[in-house]
Amino acid sequence: MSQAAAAAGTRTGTRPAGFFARSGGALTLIFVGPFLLYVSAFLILPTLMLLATAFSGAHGFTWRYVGELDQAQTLIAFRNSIELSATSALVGLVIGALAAYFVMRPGMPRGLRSLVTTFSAVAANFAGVPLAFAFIATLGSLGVITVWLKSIGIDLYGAGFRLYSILGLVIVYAYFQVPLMIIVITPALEALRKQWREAAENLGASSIDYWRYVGLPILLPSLLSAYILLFGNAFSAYATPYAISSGIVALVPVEISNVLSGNVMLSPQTGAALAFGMILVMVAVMGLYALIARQVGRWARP
Amino acid sequence: MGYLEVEGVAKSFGPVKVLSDVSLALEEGEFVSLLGPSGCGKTTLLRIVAGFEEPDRGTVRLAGTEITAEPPAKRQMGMVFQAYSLFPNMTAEENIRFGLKVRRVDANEQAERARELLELVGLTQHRGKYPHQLSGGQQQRVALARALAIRPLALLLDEPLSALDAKVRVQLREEIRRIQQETKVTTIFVTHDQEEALSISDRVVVMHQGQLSQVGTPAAIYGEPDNIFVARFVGAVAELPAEVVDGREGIVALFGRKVRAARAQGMAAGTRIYFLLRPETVRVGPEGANGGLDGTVAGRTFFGALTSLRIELADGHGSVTAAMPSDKASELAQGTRVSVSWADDAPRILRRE
Repeated sequence: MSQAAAAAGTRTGTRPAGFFARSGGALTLIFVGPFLLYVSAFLILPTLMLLATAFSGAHGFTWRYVGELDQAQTLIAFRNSIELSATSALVGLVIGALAAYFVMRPGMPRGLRSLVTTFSAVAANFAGVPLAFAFIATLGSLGVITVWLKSIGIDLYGAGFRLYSILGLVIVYAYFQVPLMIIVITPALEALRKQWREAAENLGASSIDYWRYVGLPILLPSLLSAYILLFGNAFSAYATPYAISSGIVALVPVEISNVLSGNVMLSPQTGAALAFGMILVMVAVMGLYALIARQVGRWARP
Repeated sequence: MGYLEVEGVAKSFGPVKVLSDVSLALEEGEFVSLLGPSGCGKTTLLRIVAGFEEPDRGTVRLAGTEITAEPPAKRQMGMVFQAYSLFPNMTAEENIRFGLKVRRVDANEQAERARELLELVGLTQHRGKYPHQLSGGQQQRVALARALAIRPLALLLDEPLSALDAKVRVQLREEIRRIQQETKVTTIFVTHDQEEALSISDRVVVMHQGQLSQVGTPAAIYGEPDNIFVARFVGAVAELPAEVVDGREGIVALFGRKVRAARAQGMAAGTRIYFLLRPETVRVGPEGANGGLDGTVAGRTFFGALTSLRIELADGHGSVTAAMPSDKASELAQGTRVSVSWADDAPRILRRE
């Protein structure tokens, strides 16, 4: 090809690319723009309003409401919420990851995977009052399973178990945490290449060696992300714990509801301060995640 | 008895028979390529040798020991996969040390072996890079070093060059051969690329439909194909239908004329044969010259120093490809009427069923 022809080829080659780049930019704006507006209107703006409320008193700026976060009842609510979220996220992570792994193993029935995926998609979104009712009807003090277990000599409530306890809520939360974990970890498990496993085996590695040195380190960034997602999912849950415990277990979202609905007291500023506290907890968790993820995912950075 | 032996191996996946009664023996230090089209069973055979697939029948022996039932981890074989098999969470050096680490080899010895191998594959300065920071060719060099780190009794290469660009492929295949000759490790190399197989192997095994079609040196595979599949698959060839007229003198009838073919000697008169011409054995002259077959230049493919001319034979007798120096080929424009001929001992003769 002559230089002139080559140059012409280059020109004709760049024109469509430029056109698509420009029209792509416009399309991006059309489709992403409304979403950004939506996020601004219903996430950023309320957050700013929440911050403003948390720091506003009758006479303007005040630390009072945020300062009240160190009250015993509030600290218990935060401790319970963090404990419940961390534990239920861990339970969801371990059980969900193992379930996804075993469902995806070669030789599993073809339909099992789609069955589990479909169920997970539904169950991960099944929370709130219906879920609470389902557990009260089964594991409540007069629930079907509780009564049946008692009939065979296992007295759950006699042994101290309560559905309206942190342990009880962890069991209830597992119902949506495990499926959510299955949904988010499946793509990461699929991305584990067969060649890595075979190469490890070929080099003399046992299954434990493979998971210790290859499989888990590769999955770790995904597991961490999933854990954060599950933590956030549990941390913000309100309807399920409220319906189950009717506020017996102090949790931050329930406390916020109490001060906003006026059952105990009506104080939007206290509610905003509690929400601000939740944001701080999530920021701290995300910060910790970023630090760890930076370390465990250093091999993936360019 | 060979150093690495496969005997009577058969394998099916469901109703699909992938390997049928395959037997092969490699000498110690030998470099053997399994060559064949996709689906011929070459990778399955390699995976059976590696222990990743279990044969339905047959045995695999290595250094006098049967290893058919041994898991891959116990076989002491190094394997290089097509691509993307390096552990992405480990640096080049950590990848190379992996096999030694899981064998609980002393850390100093691991480091020393990794250093030697990085030097052998020319990647010392890249030891601390992660796989995604290395080019495809560099990654495969690391994979080779990793496979050699455990001092394997046999090295298995599963199309290790197939994901690389043409220039890197040539460089790396030469490097693989150099390293294999230096380490003297018995090697099986799977490829569908005949040029690769012919250029670096001591012997080539051509596979077809789960069977060994021919086993021989690269020269024998190319020059003396046992059957029409090998002739067609390895190199370009013109297949002209002919019939032996006089087996004692080596005379055959080709498109109604009698021509000499040294390799037809000893064949019974009346035997239907393929008269095979490799492009480099075809001579092209002016029309009517040397009593050759007349034809017309119908196409050309430029390969740099050589040009391949496709010559349509007169009277619809098919076509013949001739490879000739590009400067000479440039004198023969498309449509030029020419005559093609060959030396008496050039044509390969195969029976035609």
